[in-house]
Amino acid sequence: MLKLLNNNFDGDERSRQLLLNRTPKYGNDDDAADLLMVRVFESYFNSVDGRRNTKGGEYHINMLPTTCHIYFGSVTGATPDGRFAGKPLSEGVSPVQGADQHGPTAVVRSVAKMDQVRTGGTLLNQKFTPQLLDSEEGLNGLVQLVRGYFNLDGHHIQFNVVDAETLKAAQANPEQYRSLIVRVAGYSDYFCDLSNQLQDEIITRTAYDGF
Amino acid sequence: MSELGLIFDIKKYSINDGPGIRTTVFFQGCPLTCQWCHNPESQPNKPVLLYRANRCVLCGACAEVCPQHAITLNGSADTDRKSCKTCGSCAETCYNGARELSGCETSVEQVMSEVLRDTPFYEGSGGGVTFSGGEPLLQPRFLLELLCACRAHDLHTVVDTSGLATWEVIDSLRIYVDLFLFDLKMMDDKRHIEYTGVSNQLILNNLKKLAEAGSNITICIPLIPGINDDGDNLRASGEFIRSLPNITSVEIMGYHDLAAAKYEALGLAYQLKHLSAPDKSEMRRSAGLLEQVGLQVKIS
Repeated sequence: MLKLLNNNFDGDERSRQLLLNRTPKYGNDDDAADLLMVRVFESYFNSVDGRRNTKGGEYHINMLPTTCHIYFGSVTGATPDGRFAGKPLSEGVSPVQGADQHGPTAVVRSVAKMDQVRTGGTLLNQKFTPQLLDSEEGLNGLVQLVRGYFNLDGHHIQFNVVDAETLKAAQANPEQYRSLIVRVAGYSDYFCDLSNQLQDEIITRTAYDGF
Repeated sequence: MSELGLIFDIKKYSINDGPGIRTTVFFQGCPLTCQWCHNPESQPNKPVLLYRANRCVLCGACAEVCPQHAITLNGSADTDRKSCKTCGSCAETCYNGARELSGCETSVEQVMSEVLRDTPFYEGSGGGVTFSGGEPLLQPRFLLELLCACRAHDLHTVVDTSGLATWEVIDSLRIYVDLFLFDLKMMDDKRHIEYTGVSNQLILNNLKKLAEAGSNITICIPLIPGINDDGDNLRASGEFIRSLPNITSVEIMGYHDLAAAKYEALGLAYQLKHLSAPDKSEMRRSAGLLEQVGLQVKIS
């Protein structure tokens, strides 16, 4: 594995695909993966929280790097989740882009396994398409999702209602957007599972929706 | 030992399959073969192989492991479906997720442990569990155990059904079902046989008995352009629904062609290629016909 990472997966795309698609990932309410996150969080928290800083105060942990994930990623080598060296890390406490494949409730349950109450704040991004919110049911679902997350002691969640440009990017680079859900006529599905023509159709419709 | 059932998917955050935030459990196997079916992989009551060519990188790993040597690489990784025994080796090996086996033996405990995870979201939203498919009534013992398990955990249950099962089956589990989503496709039996492969007699009788028994039912009509959205069928459907006790509303759902890619992934021909989804004004027109007989109509 170390050799694979040192070489940035060069020449072994099959192994990279295995790591990308066939290993448990944080963000799917899978305890095996989520408990690894908890371990990393705990050791980070315990090493920093309460330490004296240079001004006589104490350090505390916030889990909200905002856009630093791009920079941090640019100086981080290949990682054993299948990520190439230099590519962005995940945003805040959000799952790695495209790794969450079981919908938003599974995401917030995974994230809530981190003891957020002890931090100064967290940042969770979610992407929705306009169609997922164009009905009373859709809006109610969003409200109850947020309420459920806060009942689980979540601290912060924000939603990107995805526009046509993003959908075009998803069409060109599906591996980055595996978790993107679109709603079409009384039924929702993963955007990347649809045929190219249907993706085109939804892109067109989304543009018309004016988001 | 509890029942095992054939399940092809468990979908969380379902907001179109009944009230609130739900988890939908999809049963493999259906006695109908509706030409517009949007889950064609769920029709056979055994596992089936899906192959999505747009995800395939032609690495050849599937061909190497196939014990039947049924896969050849030729611009895409084609499977000879006659010699394929759907053992799933190729799907297991395909790291890109281009190959997938639909339909997996699952225990009641396995389903429930997934379903219960989202309990925090059911309570506030009035949601719960929906059993869909495929046809859930085709696996009645498995379904009954799941319904009882949900009852034990005080979860709201929905069964999304074509209505095709013996009345004894429906009668045996209806008291554990909080809401039936009952599909009403078309009233003319000949056309019903032509487009779904089965007669509608048993389905209509079951719907009548279920309504008389006092079960909570939402009737859904999928509107398929040129097949069942004509005035004759909608008026006949509306009058039939009006004749049922305790039912004053109906939902209509427009046809969509989302499933075409799935037919391709299954190596099947899609017979409704020429159709396009009805637009808002066509949906309104159909709703108007049903409203004329005194029904409340929800367009979804």
